[in-house]
Amino acid sequence: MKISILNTWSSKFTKASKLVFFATLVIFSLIPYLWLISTAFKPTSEVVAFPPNFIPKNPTFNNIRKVFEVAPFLRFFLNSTIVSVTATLSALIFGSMAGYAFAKLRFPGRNTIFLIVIATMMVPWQITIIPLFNLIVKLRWVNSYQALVVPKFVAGFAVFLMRQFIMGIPDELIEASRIDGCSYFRIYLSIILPNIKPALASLTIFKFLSMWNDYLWPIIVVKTPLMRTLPLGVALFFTEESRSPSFYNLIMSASFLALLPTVVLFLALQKYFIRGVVLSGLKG
Amino acid sequence: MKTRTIESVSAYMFIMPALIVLCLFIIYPMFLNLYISLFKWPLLGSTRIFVGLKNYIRIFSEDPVFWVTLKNTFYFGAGYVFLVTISGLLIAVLLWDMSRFYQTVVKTILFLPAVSMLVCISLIWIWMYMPQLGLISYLLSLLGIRGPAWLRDTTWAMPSIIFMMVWKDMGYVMVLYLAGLSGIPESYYDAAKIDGAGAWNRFWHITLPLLKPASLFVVATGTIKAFQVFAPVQLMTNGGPGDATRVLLLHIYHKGFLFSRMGEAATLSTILFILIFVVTAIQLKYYHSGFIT
Amino acid sequence: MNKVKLIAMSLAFLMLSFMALAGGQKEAEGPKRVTLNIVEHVFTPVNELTEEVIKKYTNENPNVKIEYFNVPFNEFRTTLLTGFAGGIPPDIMAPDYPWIPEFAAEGLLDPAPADVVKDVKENLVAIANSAASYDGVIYGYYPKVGTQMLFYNVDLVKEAGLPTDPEAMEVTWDEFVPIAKALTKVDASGNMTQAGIVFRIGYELTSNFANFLWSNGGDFFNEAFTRPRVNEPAAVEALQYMYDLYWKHGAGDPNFLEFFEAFTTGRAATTMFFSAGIARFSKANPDLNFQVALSPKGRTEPAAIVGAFVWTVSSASANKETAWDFVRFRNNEEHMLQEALVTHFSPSRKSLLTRPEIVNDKYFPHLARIAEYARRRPATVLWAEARETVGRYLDRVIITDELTPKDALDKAAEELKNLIKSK
Repeated sequence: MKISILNTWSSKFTKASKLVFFATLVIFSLIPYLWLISTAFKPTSEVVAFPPNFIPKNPTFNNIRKVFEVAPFLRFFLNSTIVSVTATLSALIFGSMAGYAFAKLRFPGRNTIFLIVIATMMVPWQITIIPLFNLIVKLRWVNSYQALVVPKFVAGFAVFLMRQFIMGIPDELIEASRIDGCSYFRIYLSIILPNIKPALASLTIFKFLSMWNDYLWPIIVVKTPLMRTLPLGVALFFTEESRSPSFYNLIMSASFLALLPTVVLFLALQKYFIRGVVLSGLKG
Repeated sequence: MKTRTIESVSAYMFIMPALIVLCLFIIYPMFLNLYISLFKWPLLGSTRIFVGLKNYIRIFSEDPVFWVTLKNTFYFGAGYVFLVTISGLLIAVLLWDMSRFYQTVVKTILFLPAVSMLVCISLIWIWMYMPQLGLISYLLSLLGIRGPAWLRDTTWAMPSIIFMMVWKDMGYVMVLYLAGLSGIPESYYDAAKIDGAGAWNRFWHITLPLLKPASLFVVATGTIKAFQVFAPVQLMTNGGPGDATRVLLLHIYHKGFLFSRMGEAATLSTILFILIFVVTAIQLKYYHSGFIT
Repeated sequence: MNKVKLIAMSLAFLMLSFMALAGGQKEAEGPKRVTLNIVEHVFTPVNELTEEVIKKYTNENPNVKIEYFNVPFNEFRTTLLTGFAGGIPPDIMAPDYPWIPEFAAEGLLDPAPADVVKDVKENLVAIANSAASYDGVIYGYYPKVGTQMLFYNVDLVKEAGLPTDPEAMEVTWDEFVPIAKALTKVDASGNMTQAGIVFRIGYELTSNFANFLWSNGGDFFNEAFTRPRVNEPAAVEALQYMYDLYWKHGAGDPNFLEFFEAFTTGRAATTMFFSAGIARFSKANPDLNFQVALSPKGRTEPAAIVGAFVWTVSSASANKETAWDFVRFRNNEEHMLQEALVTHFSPSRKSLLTRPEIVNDKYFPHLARIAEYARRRPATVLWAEARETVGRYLDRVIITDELTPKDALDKAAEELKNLIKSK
């Protein structure tokens, strides 16, 4: 319990009115999800019923089944996993390696190069979609996993974040191993990495989510159905061709399936998610 | 001497992978973008004609859509950043002295939309905003109000998208503010209390200024994020009705990948970059001049 | 030690996944095997037919392997554009016919072989020739004629006490107003419960507008495509008429449901859509009793803007001969008839028009009559952009009531002028 005077302004409200406020807020946040679930399990006849019933009278799994029939949904899932996991791993490895060098090693041009890395953080990749696509064309990577992943291997942010954390590791710790005759790579593995676990976890969550949820880049480089990632796969259900009275229960079923993994993961690891976001946010 | 060399060589090897990726996929495309913007560069075929600054001139003088997208980008940015910051701050301050249990519950639920896939969120809200059959129409009809066709109404389309994005991100902002609040030492308040400052005064003169780093972060990243909004507008309105929700990034995407005008799209990208750069710089400047106590 | 393992495993995963994926990309090509990639947009009846034809074809030609992809229509154009740009165009594609000029002008399409040209010229209806050609060169088969027309709900028309045969619906603008009004229902508090007519939105509205524009003697461009004509009086009049149906006569409401939901749930008495509507509406609601007619006409002849797709071969294909062989097979008499029957688009092969399956059908006789007034979209490389540009301004008149028809079309004309200049 924090019985705190910090709360200054909010202490003007009574506890009861606050509870009402937060109850409303929680409902407000959940309503779209409830509506999603409700529609996803409705038979066609109930979707367009007005007034709508929140709890389907005859709930059905048909829509969920149909999602897998209409599109290779598992393949979308697999694509997203491959793309997100690969990009996350590479960001962790390349980011922490470079972060280590910038934080703890001395080499000519360190400050200049680091400044360049910082400068790249000012360039959101979205504004380079035109030249990036050109580059992918030159590399003959259109419609490939390489196109989805390689440009996202590591960003300036990952390097910066890692450097900030590695700076916090005391030099004495490293010096001691130096004297023991450890190589720099050994130090990186046995001292640096174990000491920045929270940062690695934070970057994992940040990078994984941004890859998993990205829509703009895949829509540009993906050409065939089997290369689609999950967001593109879900969008597939929202096209003019897929229209029918069961249009919305099918879309909602697809959305439900696409949201399920991240939501479950989030609820299970809620503490780490929130801490990760705060860490990457406030350190960065 | 030798150790020094080994250290340098190792360091270069450590930064090499990251540096190659950054150079190839961020720095090089930046310059390539500038280069392309000087050409009439169709997506189809290989006829590329150097036109100098003509693309820039054309966009400023002959493309009325550009000015509309500029206005819409700022409209979305201002509306989204303002609302998401205020609501996040408000919720964080109110939640601060609740018990741990309540904090966890509220944090978890409000944060859920922030980790959800934006494409799915957009699709859910399209269905909710639907006239006649949608949930919002129904809830309003209980109050005897006939709402507009949200996403097809010039006045309401953009606010509807902003509202959805605020709903999605306010939990995220709240969490950042909660972290900011936990960094404020209680001694500040003790002193203020002794001085007899009222609750409102304390919030205004102590809490808010001390939250400034958090606010700067929320506003700066929020602005950058807002300038890159794409999936919701593309799916929910595709820029319509008319041009009511056409934002710069959507315009770039259409110009480049739908109308085969890569040169003009690159030009628009350069403009968007300058815009983001300037706005961020202003925010930083304001932050440094306005608050160093 | 564990850390080392972890890193090693991560790296190994990276490498392996790339190797596996890179390997997966490449086809293990035998000495004589030919692989063809085919892309078509998503339209279930056609996709199913194509799949069937592919199965038949590969059974007869075991050395040919065919990879068939479907792309939703709203992504189709970008997919083809970026596919061409990325150097991986499909061997065979069925693009929307207005894109033929754009692709052909860049030399991306293979001109049809002599026998295909002869077949198209001699045995197909005239519009098939014009839709598949650019600058006098024919680029492939246009197997089915799709027209934009008036769809009406027969039951609702009957309920309003109006004659239900298509000829009775094919009237002038002035005569259509009372019909649309009679088909509109409003509840006690003034809210629309049934729309007399529902137009589409955005660039799709341009197709709705085209029928009105052309049937009033107007056009989008002059013949040489050097000057826009969308702000001439005939065009302003056409847009004014559409505007009046919604905002003056109250026969439509932009806040109402969209055309598809409205029409398939019996909440719209009429709407305007392409031939694909027959299959799509029936699939969405098998009980829906509807019929098609020419849309109302202005001062001149009625008009029906033409849609649909051309089977063509990429000039970059490594197996053009096999590709054309498949295109011929896909568009032979038998398959064209099948395609017509499953889609309810008119077949473009003249010999099929007298077949009993066609003559005795509920829709084909009316489609044939409508096809007499069929008119292709302007054959300019600018059409895709022009359609979008005009649509944005039509929205601001019909959907949002921000601009007067004259102002909107003046602005649209100004933008079109700049487009022409910049190409």
